[in-house]
Amino acid sequence: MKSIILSLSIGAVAHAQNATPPSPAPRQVGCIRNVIVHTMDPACTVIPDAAVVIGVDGRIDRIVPTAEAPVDGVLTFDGQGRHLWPGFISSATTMGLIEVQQVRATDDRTEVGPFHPEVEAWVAVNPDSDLLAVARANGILGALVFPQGGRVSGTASMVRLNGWDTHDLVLRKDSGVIVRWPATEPTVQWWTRSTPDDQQKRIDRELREVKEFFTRAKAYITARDAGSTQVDDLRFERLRPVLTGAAPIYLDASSAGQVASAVTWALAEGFKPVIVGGPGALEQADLLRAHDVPVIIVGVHRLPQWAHEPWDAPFTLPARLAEAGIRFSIATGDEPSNDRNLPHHAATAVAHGLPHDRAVASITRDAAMIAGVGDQLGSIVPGMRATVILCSGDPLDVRTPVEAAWIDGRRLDLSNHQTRMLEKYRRKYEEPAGR
Amino acid sequence: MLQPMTTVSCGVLVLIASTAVAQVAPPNGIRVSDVRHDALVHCTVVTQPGTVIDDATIVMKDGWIVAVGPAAATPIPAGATAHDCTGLTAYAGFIEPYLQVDTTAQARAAASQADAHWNPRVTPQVRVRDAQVPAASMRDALRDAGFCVAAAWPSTGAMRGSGAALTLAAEDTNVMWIGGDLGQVAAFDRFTPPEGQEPPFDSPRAVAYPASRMGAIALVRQVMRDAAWSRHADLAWMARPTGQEPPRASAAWAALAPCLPKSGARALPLVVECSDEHAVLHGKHLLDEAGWAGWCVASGLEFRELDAIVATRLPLVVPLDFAKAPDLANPRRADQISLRELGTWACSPMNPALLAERGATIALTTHRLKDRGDLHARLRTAVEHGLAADAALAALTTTPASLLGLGAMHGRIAPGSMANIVLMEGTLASKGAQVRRVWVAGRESIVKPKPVLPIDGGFVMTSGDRSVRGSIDLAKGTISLMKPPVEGAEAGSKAEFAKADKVDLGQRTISFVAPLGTIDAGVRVRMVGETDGRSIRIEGVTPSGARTVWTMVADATVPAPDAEAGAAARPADDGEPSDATVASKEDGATDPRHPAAMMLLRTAPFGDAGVRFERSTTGDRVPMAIERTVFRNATVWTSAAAGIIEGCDVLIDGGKVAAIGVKLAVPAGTKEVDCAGRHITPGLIDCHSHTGVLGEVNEWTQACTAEVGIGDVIDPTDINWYRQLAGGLTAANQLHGSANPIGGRNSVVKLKWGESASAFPVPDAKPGIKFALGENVVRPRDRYPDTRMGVEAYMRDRFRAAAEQRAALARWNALPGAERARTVPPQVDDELTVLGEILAGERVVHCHSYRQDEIVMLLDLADELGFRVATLQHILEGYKVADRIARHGAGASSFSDWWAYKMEVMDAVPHNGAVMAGQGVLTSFNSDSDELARRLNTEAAKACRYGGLEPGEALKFVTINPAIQLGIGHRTGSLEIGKDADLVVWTTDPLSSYAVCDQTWIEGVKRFDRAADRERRAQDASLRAQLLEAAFERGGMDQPPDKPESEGGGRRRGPTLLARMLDTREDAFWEMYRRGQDPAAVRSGECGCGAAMSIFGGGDQ
Repeated sequence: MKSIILSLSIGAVAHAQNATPPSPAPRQVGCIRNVIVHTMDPACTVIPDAAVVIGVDGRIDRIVPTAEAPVDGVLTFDGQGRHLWPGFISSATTMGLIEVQQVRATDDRTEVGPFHPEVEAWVAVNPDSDLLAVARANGILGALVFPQGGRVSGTASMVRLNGWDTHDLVLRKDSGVIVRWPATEPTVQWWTRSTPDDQQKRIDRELREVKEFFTRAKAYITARDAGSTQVDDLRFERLRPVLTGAAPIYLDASSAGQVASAVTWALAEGFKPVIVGGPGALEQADLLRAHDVPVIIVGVHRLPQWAHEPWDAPFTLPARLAEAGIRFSIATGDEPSNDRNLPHHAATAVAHGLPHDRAVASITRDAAMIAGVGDQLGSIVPGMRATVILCSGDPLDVRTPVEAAWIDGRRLDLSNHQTRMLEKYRRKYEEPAGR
Repeated sequence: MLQPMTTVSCGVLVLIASTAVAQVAPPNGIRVSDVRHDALVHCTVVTQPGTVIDDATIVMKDGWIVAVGPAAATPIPAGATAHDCTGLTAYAGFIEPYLQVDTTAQARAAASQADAHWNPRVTPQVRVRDAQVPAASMRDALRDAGFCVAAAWPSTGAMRGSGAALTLAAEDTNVMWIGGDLGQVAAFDRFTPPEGQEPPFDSPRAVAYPASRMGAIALVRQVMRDAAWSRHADLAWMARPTGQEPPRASAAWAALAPCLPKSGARALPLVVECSDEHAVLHGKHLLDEAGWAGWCVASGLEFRELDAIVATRLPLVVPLDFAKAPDLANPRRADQISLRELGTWACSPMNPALLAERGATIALTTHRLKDRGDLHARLRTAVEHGLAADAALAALTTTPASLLGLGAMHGRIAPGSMANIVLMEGTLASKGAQVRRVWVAGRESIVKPKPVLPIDGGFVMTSGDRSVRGSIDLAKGTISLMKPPVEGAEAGSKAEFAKADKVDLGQRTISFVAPLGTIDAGVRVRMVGETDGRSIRIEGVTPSGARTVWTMVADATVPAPDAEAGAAARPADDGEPSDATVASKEDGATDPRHPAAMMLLRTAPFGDAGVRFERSTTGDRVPMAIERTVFRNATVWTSAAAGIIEGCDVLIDGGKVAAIGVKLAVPAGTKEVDCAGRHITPGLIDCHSHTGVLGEVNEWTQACTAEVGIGDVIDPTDINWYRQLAGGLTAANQLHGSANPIGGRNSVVKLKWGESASAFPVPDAKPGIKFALGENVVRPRDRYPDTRMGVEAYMRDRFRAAAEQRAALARWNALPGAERARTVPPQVDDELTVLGEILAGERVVHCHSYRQDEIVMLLDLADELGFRVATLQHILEGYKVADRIARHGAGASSFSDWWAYKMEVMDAVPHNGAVMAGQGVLTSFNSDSDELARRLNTEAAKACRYGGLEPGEALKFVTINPAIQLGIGHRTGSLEIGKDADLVVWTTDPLSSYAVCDQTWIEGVKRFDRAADRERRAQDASLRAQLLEAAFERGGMDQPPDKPESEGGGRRRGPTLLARMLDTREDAFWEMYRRGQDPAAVRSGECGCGAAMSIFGGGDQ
């Protein structure tokens, strides 16, 4: 299988940081023929022996039987009967904002202070990060990038993992604002030192502060829109789409108490909430379903929080949310260097009861819809971006490598720093023994 | 009249005599004659547990009991004062075996002596009797509870000093120290930075050692060894003082000499103060290793590890400090409380009973009780929870007496015993029992005199033509007054009572405040009076000063005041956990022992996901069944030469693999498991784990900590063991963290969930040790080594030192016997002993390593010094020097695909494992993570995905390869006849993401079964619901703990090293809590130091 990966990569060049050039824009109509297309449309239609015709705009033009595929003047790729799936989308990730976790100079995840909605993720996504190229090799073609830290962390951006500069990368600059919802219950643990009473005071204060921030934002917008001489506040300006419900508010909330508190508040304010976290969402399924509040599940591969929870609680959460009728996407909840294992999180959910289609959707179509780019990404239907992956089997299974990938119809070079280092040292062992 | 004193050591006699002459200041005036000749008459005497004399007389003279017997046969000697004790029961004065005395100042002084131990926490030369005599208020509190003698112990450090017993006299001048030193007290205390200060993590100094539980154990062990060496060396030197240097001396070692085992003489005990149930086992281990005698001060949590603790046969001093009910007012808070925590609350009052019932020797202590006056209420709780009353008495008297070596003259009421007597109203541990009088060394101290008044019940008081009726309850100390009948009320209507305030019933005196509407309709009347023994003359004074004199006499016609207005609207809230259940019991209702709690006591480990077990008629635990079983028609991945066999059967018998083959013929009675469509693999093995380590994973304070061992601190109760069993894991390499170049010894265990710690280690695993290179070890600033160069030099130097110690010992051992007796033996440093084992090939190295240069450095050093590197751990640049690794013969144990978490892992490639294997390196994949260890099968699959390995070869990365690396390949890691029956049944191809572990077997015992797991879950949920309900019913009765439970209070990590930092670093954990994570969990790449790093500020995640 290794040989397949390498044969599909364009010549390996040993450079330092991400030396893989972005793929060029297509100059002619393209066609991926002789593939089984898993459209991931709402019906999860599968079209065998099909050809996907891609326009020069990088969008899918049409899907036809291979026999009817255009040939003349068309850049053709023969899939040899393999499977074509939408590219995967990593949600709630810090991809591009951090390179080496323990090297402070490479860390652009967290701005100073509690409230900074004005910082936008796409501004600092490093197009030459090695992490992007490594993730791409496993079919991660889009990322909903989250700034971190503070109470209001910043503005999330949707990016694609191919391009020369940040403008090439960004698909949607304002994908919503992230609020890290305060803990809502006091706790007594081996690590706690403050008393439950003091904790409750802290919780009350934090909840008051976050709510006040948005109340003041509304007052600011009202004053500005009334034409007053109110001076600029970038923070509040940045909240406009959230306040009007045009962009979601991502509520990072784990426990049932946090989910209830955060969602109730957001709905009352007229916002469009998305829960980021998951464990407590199930208990509030009624609330979430009634208002169609989706969830970004932050990691299937995680431990239960409490000893008395079933050992498989995080594994079965997606299946249980699906049964409860909740929309969700799956994220790794891990460091971005491990985003390449995103499909394996979805696969574990399948092993523990989630229907396979739903699992694929949780990292393609549903992830795109929650990120507000459902009209561009996440399924293989005409009009969508031709952002797809090719593999010989089940794309979620750990054993299945990605053999080719396209972003907006551009065929990707799947080589990266790791494949180049491998190549370099392969030569060492090819040298005659006893040098 | 002191004949029985012949058995008493003469030191005592001298001391008692000396109090009379030496400790009494010259009188300021003329002498006072202290008459100490008394007789207690007409009391019931419990001379010792189980022996009662009714209507007895006790005669005391000059501090000693001279006669005890039935009144008729025991004349009151002339000159003795008789005390009428009718209605009282006499017990031997209680003995408090563990009274902690603040010795901080003494410890500090001892640590700065010229011949002090290098570690300031080792101060055995502290003698508690050199500290201040326990304060009068402390003595009063104990005496009021019935204690006459206490053993005082120093409070500070790891090796704290020696204790001594004293009498709890009221006056300072009457306090006597009894006998000599009682022994030494130790505790597994760890470094705690001074109040308000951060730990010196940036520049660890030896002074911070130990900073982990295992380090504390190692320190105590080394000190015990040094003390023995010191005596041995002194004797050798004295045999020939010329020509050899006198051995090093230390006040610490000298102070421990009385504890050293010696033939013919009784060595003093080493007392181990335990912070949780595991510490008892740790203490036992250390005592046995050194051959010392000792006992433990228990934590109160022993019921959670009952069988192993009872099996130690160590005497235990057991606290009556029972766990409090959690506060469940907020239902979402209740979601956080584990079954273990709830069970701990429900079972802790049973702790003394369970220990006693299983034959453990127990004494009781008020240690840890906020108010020592709670003794009797707690005692009653313990008795209601199954402790026999006689056992309770023994645990307060005879047992502590013999434990402290005071047996001859304490703990019993007998001629020749010290005149320590407690007189109670009501029998011990009965409801309402009260201590009335206490005699300490023949001096009386009245605790709570019973009021002496002629009226107990209804009365009438008259003044002229006025009369008021009411009722006195002497036992409760209350007075109720009847309100005059309302005019026009029908005759016979219920009398209305009002409760008097400020009631004071004394010895023939009385005072109270009569409420409105009783004596005076408009004002409250203050009443005060005295009795002549028949009636009470009592004056009433109104606020304005008007005075009336009344005469109060008994009146049987007064009805009993009803509960509402009279006695008390609510029961006294004494904060005692089982008050509610007590009341119901006395109503003839239920046993206070909750059925769910009783059920939990038959699960191991205690609490969540515990395995149910049965007890035999002798009370012993029935072991898990090893059944002969055949698994039919599976796809069997042997991880051996046989490869992968389809349609294959596996027969296991006696815990071993008995046969593998198609359509096996099996003996009758063999259990059949249909595995059609299923796959069987060997049990998976994690070659890098930090799961189940009690306390801190890193002893980070020194660059070399070879003396510490994970094997000392295995936690069999870590819930992550069970979670990992559910992922098919059967064995793990528990490693020390990577904070120092030479870390601690490892522990290779099987996941025998439900057994105690001693069952976990694989007995014939190759002993190993953790080393570390690169970024982690140079992180502390100002500690040598600070560079990869320094690491090389440091390791070389340590190994040289180890070789020298080994050579010196060999030279000494080779001496002829007589010569050896005259030659000072080399002092043995545990750290160097361990390194010497590495040089001798008895122990192998597991080394945390990343970059190719450091890998080559270590292998060069190993080849030069002749030691073996069993595994290079992490080894993410192994693909660059695979040939070098193969040449040394080291194994490689790697992450499948982790990278980018720090600078030295930026060149990591996921093909690493396959490349190394291709170059002939024995390779495994590991987790280094509580979570990832649940999914090692799919980690192995990555060797196919990225490296193109054949599936069978990839699976070996988590089966036979790590087994060989850990020296257990001869017994596990593959499915071959004769090997341990460690296997996993999977729903499908184990390298698939869709494979789910159905069953996990270890040595023929099924330790996990998915179907049984569902049942067990339902049972746990039901137990949890019952206990939540019971705890909620208790809600508000207990003060919710404003501080977290102490170590072991339901969680696996204790507030030790981290405690003080948590005051300032709580936010970091709060954030994990907010995100729904368990801060205790170990995560990949952190190598066990991640959590600590986030606390110490070394990391910023």
